[in-house]
Amino acid sequence: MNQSLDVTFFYLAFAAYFAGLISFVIYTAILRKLVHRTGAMLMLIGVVCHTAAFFIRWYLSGHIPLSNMYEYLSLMSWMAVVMLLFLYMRYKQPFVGTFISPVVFMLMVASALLPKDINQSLMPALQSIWLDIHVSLAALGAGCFVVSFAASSLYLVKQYIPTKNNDHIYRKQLLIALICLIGIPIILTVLLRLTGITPPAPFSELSFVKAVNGEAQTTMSSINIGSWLILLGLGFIIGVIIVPFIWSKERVNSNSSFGGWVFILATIALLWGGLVEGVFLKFGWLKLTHNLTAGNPDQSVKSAWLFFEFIGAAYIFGLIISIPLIPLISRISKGISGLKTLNLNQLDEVSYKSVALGYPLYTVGALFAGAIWAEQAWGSFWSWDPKEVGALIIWLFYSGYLHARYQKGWKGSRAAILVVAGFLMLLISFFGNYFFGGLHAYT
Amino acid sequence: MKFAIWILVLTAVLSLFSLIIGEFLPTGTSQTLFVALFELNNPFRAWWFRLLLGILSISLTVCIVQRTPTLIRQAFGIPVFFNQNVLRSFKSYRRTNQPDGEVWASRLFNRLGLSYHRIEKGGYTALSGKSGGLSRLAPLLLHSGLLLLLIGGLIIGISGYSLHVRGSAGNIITNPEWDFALRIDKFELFYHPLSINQWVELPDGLRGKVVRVQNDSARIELSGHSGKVHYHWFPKDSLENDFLISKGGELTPYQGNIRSYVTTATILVDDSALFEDRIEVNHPLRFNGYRFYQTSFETGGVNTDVDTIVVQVQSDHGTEIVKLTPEGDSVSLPWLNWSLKPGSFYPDFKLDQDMQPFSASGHLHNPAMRIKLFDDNKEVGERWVFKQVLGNMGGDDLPLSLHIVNLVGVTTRPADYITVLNVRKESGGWVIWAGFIFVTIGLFLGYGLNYRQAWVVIVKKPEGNDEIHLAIRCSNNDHGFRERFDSILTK
Repeated sequence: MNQSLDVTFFYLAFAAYFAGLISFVIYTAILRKLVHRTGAMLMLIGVVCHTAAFFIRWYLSGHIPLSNMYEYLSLMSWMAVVMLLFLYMRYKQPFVGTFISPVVFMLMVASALLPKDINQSLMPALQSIWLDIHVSLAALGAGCFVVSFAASSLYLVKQYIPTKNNDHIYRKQLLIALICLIGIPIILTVLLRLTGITPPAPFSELSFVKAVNGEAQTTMSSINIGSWLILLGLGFIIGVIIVPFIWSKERVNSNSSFGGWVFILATIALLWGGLVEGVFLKFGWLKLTHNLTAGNPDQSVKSAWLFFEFIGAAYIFGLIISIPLIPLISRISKGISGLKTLNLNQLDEVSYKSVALGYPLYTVGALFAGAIWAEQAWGSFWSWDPKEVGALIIWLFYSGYLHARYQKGWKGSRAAILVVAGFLMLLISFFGNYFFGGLHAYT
Repeated sequence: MKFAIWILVLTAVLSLFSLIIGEFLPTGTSQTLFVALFELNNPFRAWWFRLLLGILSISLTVCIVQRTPTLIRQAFGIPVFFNQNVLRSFKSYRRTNQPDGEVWASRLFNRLGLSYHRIEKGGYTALSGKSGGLSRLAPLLLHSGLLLLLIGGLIIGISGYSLHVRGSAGNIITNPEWDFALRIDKFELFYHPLSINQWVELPDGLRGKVVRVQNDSARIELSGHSGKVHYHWFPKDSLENDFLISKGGELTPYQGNIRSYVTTATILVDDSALFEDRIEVNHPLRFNGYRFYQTSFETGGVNTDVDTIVVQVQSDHGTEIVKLTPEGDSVSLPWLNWSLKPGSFYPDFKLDQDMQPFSASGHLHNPAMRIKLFDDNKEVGERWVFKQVLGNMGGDDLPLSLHIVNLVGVTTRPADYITVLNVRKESGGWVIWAGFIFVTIGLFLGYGLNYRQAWVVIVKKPEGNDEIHLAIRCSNNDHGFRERFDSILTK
């Protein structure tokens, strides 16, 4: 099938963003003005191509291109790049590019993996002006949260200052981190397996093509590895929730949180693991109990078990990727900690500014416009649908963050952890279409 | 504030837990004592979740009550004054010496765009200026709005009325609680025009996806059994985008290409029509506080049509084959001097309690046709002819036997559609709307306006320049405001 023009522009934007990312990374190493300016210029070229892709797709489809996951994620990435350029010019701080562009790159890779078919035939529920208002504001708000996630991640990396004089505390902290992130998942998996508590057998899958052709064939796949992955995923989630909480009394420096540092590194490793897993799934090199890439996601049987299985597999990928890179990660982390041209207040301010812009957009767009549309289409403002609950959880985390910034003892690392948690929830809610059913299952 | 953070985070975490547990334990699954106690198969309506929302409401109320006086004073009242010692603790603290401190400070306030007040105290003059005071109302509006949303949700939860009704064209739907009736006039399906990525049915019954449309033809992607994909061009006229698929043993329209489904209905009061309206997705019918939503439709099974029925006629003269069209023209049997007049076709023949024939479904489970026999123009008898069972049913003594041997041109189509409407009525809607408006205005004021404050303390020095202490604060753009402040000071 020929690629439509909008997709060509999308890939041009992708290439420009990637080149911009490389430039910003090189700048971090050599600190030459020309390099970061080149990076910003490439980002600008990328955003122009991305804008062109958006409007061409709008023209080709005949409606605002926000009716599927690719289109939503693409707009979210666009907003993040616009914010990057705004903050770059506002603060005259090249490091803005260094920490936002990798997250944009990750989102663009995820967008590239999603089906890009133009949908000219909108289903009845989507034929409403509220599609334009609800989804566009939610995507723009989410784009702002991407930037705040990037800033808060860097904050959590930079705020930790390794202490040479307190090696015993460091060793103790490291041991607890390893127990949380590796011990708990493995121990929980083994214990549950030994006690016979295992997830149920996989569900049958009817792919879209088969359903339409009337050949109702059921494909069963092996659960053996899947159930291990589900338990590992569950264990990892428990471990990563505990990590940021356990060092409050052991903290050597009141401004330095080892837990926050471990939390963000584990989160980033998981995100990269999930991205690589997505590539493996896309190209059929890996199959979960459900084949995620077969046909249209709304036609496949969904299961919350699959969510844990996906996380479990992402955890394995994350470990495989990060373990050999530990010396490099440690060096980069130390380098960031020592950067004098970038201070924590600036990062905190960038994070807050992004949330301050994204929060109203998201509240009005995702929650209120969505509720009003739901009342018009389905008769109820709120139905506790998985997507609605997802949006509510995201909103609660960011509301918590905004309160935390005004509270002594919650400023800094704790507030940054809430931003990261909000962003993780944003991803779970976004990719939740693959795992949970509900009224938004078609998106 | 700390309590608010914890309650927000706790609500978020428990919502996530409820979302996941709700997926594993959907309503209607068998319950253990633990599940029943904590209502885990309907967690968002469980007592502990309601309790959590109750605590959140109390927290919001306390916040509103505590902060209202301060916020109102900050928005509309005279700003607070500080002495130089307090100003020194500000990050933005600056100090300068000017010949005429008050004139200089007045100019500074003007350039910063702030309105100001002044007081004289023993030994110094304090000036305090502000702008964007309305933004101080934002927390009040936000918290009140959220409280209204929770109250509105509670009212809807208690008073909400929801009912699903079904009917096909011609049905009149009534309910003991209504003082009116709803007549379904018609139900229609509308399809999108042929376009890219639509599934279509090809002339040979296969289905494929449109990948390109050009003038009068379309390029179709076809998946083979081996998984290999083929592409072919077809004339657009030969492609059907409104076709039936099999779902749960019933044929039903493929919904992917449906543009809209519309019920035309009339409100009847005392058996007379009050008004007619269209009910479709995103366009409910509203009457007397009730709202009728188009939720879905059902096919009500299928109907089968047959072009030609091949009937074997056995008589003393031998066996002959005749082809009859249901409700069609008579066919003569020359060797008997009789003619057969075909009547209605019943795909699934059955007899009801009164021994009256009817078709139990649209499926070809027991095909039968009523046939009348004429001698010249005089009716001599009537027969039911069958495919499954040999023999006749008619009660006459005519010397011939009829049997269906084949059905030609069999097509199936959905029976009359049944529209499914959701009827709702509730009384908390306006509270929810008020909540939306409060929060939206609060967000606009809070994040759109800047609450900027500046304080100046002038200590008069009789022997020379006045000593001036300054500090500023800004709610949203502290960095920008400080830059501007510094630039004015430098100039």
